Amino acid sequence: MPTRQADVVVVGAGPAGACTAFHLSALGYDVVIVERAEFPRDKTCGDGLTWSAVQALENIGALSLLAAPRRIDGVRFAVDKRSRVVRYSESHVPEAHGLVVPRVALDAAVLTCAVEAGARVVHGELRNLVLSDERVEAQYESPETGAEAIRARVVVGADGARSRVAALAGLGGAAVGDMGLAMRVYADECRGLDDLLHVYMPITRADGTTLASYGWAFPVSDHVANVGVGVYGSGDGRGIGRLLTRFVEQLRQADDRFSSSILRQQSARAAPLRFDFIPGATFGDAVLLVGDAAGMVSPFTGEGISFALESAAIAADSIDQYFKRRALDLSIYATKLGRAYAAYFEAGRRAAKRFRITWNVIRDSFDSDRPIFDLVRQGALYPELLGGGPAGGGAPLEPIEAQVAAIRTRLGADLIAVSELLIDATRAEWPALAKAIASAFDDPRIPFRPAVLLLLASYMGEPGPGAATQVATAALELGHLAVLCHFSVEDLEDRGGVARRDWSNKVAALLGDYLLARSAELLSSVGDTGSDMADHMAAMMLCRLEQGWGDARPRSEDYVSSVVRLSGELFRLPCALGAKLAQLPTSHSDALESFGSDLGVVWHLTDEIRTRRGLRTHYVQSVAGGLHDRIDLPLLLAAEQAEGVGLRPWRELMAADRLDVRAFIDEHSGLADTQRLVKQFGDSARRHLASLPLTDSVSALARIVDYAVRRGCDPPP
Amino acid sequence: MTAGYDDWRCPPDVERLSVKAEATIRQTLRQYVETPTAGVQKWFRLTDAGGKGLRPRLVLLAASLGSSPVERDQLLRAAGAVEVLHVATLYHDDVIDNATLRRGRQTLNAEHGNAVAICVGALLFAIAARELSDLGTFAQRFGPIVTRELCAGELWELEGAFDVDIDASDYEQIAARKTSSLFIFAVLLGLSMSGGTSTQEDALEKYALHLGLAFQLADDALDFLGERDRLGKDVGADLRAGVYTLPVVVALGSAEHGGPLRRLLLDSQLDERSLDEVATRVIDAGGVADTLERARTHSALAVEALSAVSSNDACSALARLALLASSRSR
Repeated sequence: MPTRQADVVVVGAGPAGACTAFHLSALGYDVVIVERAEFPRDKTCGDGLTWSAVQALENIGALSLLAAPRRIDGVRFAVDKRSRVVRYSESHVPEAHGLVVPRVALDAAVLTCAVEAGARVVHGELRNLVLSDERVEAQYESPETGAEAIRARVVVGADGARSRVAALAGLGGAAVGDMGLAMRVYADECRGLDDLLHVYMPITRADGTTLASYGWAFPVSDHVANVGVGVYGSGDGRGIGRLLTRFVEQLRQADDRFSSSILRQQSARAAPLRFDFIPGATFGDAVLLVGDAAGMVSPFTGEGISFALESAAIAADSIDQYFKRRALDLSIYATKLGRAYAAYFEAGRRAAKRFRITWNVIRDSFDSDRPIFDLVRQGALYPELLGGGPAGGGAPLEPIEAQVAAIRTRLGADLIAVSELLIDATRAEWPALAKAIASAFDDPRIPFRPAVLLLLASYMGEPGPGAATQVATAALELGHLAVLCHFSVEDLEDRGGVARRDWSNKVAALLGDYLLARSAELLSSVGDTGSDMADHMAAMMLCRLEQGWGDARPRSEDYVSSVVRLSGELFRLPCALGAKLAQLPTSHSDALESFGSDLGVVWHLTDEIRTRRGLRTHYVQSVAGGLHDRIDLPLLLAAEQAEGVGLRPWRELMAADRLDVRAFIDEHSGLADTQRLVKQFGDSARRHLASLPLTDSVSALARIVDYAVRRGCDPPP
Repeated sequence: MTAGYDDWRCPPDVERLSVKAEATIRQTLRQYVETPTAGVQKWFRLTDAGGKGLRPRLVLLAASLGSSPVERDQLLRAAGAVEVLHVATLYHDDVIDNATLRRGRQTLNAEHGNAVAICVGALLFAIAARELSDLGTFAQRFGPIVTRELCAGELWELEGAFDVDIDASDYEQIAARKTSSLFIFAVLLGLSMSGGTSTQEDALEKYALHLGLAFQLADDALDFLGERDRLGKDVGADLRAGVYTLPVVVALGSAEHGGPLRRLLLDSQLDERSLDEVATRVIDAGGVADTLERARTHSALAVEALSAVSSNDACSALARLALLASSRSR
């Protein structure tokens, strides 16, 4: 039996394998794909493709091969009776979209691309891998010709959750079936399916208890839907079948579109879910794993195609580097994967437990708009839209790249370093959040954060302190997020008074403490800053504790004092620390601190104006949430104006609905008066900057003030 | 009647310092708070209502074991900082656990709401951090690490909720992080201020680890023996939240009681009657007795660790404390 030769053997012709083969063939390598099924063939999957997946498919030319893919604009998440819609068209990437394509068609298209690029496909099932002389021999069983073998330099395992390659190479992940199970069925004769993916969590069992689970209904066409359920933890085939039946029933009763749908019984199939990705376990001496075989599935949404396609591209690149001797071994693959993804997933025994906590929080905090819960939702459910997406209807990020253009290079490098510090500080315990937290810093549009002021202030010193400022910025950001978490702890009465195990509060408290601790740890390596930070945190907490206005109406001057103490302080400290680390002379640091404080007030008040105008402030920027749920300066100024002209009882105003209150504010020029004050603080900020030498960073700060004032004082669009 | 914590006496000079440390804390807090807020005043209540001042005393006792003279004001501030840190964690724990009672009184969150309790706790964390930042390298470096360990312990406990398969060593790891880490910090902080040797450091670290476990395990056992009001803590709340302490863990491993206990615990209702049955089964399965036995073992290990330290009054007081941890009735 002559043994074939090839550069690379890819086991599995699904999207991960075919895509790997495509890229390698395009680079000129000789690739053989070993696949045990006859194509085209079906696969258990929701059939949903994210924008990342769509772009990856576009890259390899597979999109044009698809007959009639269903265009998707976003996702509707429903938890119990509440729901949120997230749309690509409302995000910072409005041209983005998803697709729904049955796997039988998708996989055939990707494989066609691979074959047209030069990859060969053989029909057979892998039996063994034998390593010798820097070659690996893949031995497989062909249904036509019996035992066969191919010798290659590298074998890529793209053979799914039950990867035989992983097992043979000693890279096995969790016992398959231990992490989760999914099952789907196609439903015909649905009515009026829209352009959203629908996801429901959790599923209730017949006895009323819930499992960590989710159900989905994705539109394949106007009348056909892909319907399914995913369950976490170990389960058996019959259990999930019952769950799917129950889910379909619930769907039929609750949703008109499915009331007369008919299930294609033969299309019902189940498959295991594995999400135990560890970069270090994705490669061996002459072996790489891609896609499901590497456990690269999102535990929250079960999505795996985009990771399959992306890891395939990374694998091909890594193999190329290795063959060209630019990399010593295949560990380069793990390094690249780790950088791109490890903050999304976590492995080991604790993965399932940590995931369950996050899932509980998402469920319990689903109708809360508090920033930290937005963050958790985004990080877990739609990480694609990080850095500017509508967290259930929110506003896009506010980038300042235009304002900092002159110092772009230096600032950009520092921000990337900060983002890596942030990921390192949080990925061990909160991987779902790490990427979300860091996204504000690795976004090239440079979303504004108070912590960024630290870097800008430090640029005034020469040559500048470098690593210390990066660490201090990361520490400050963590501290601010901690404050955000702590301010997100609610009293249960606020949310309908239902006494239950409220995970959102627990985790908000715990996460806040954790971020605070990590912040302090980071800062302890930067001399002389610990006490400043501690005073800073104490000041903000005191501010929040001390306003016990209760039923009384505070005077606007007192309210503004509170704003100075909270938001002014939030923006003052980064300037103070930046100046300190750059060892600036006292006059400069004093000016910067005063500038910071004024800018903070501007930002807070313009937040309030924007909120009154119905613009949601992205979690990344929100500071105003710290003071009071119902009172803001526009309202107070309007009330003061109204005195003697037609006094309306304060209590009535507190209880009135938002439209009513807005009308009152407009009638008494609450917004205009607030804008006047904004401009005063803005002018004050500029005056402080004027006393500083005119460097690029000072000019950037001045442009930021201008931006901050405009965001609340420009006429609404 | 077995001796209780109230019978524990430190050497007179330590007792005097301990009183001064409490005064120092009040003074420190006043510096931060011009108008005393409700929450801060409650802190004073907490120590009045039978707070033990255990951790400050550990700082002070450890400090008298080193060889260098100690700057007294620094030492008082260190003792105070550790207590403030401890109280901060109590406030946050009570929010996380939804606890309504502590030491027989209403918790801060029950009285003034979660938002207030979290802010007061965070304020106290900040104050402790501020103090520690002035107290030398050890305090600066290890203060944050201790807080992180405490958080990690809480997190592990939370994610282990309703895990009826948790084993005893997992549980002890959580307990070590939650309870022992602050004891360890206290003794090492005190020792660092008086220039202890590395042998003493190792010994005290070991001592504090076992001391913490002895206290925690004894507490866990006692929770099952008393009635609700006398204990001052809501045992049922723990079980309903899926938090299984060592007596429960041990009982879950019992051939006779394990199965029924599992079913009871995973029942989402867990009413008064079921709670009583859980308590009975835990006791009958030997869960309480076993836990007390382990607590006594930790006490002995703590005392043994001290043998590497030069013997003096402070050392004797520490040894007596270790024994009391597992032999007290409350």
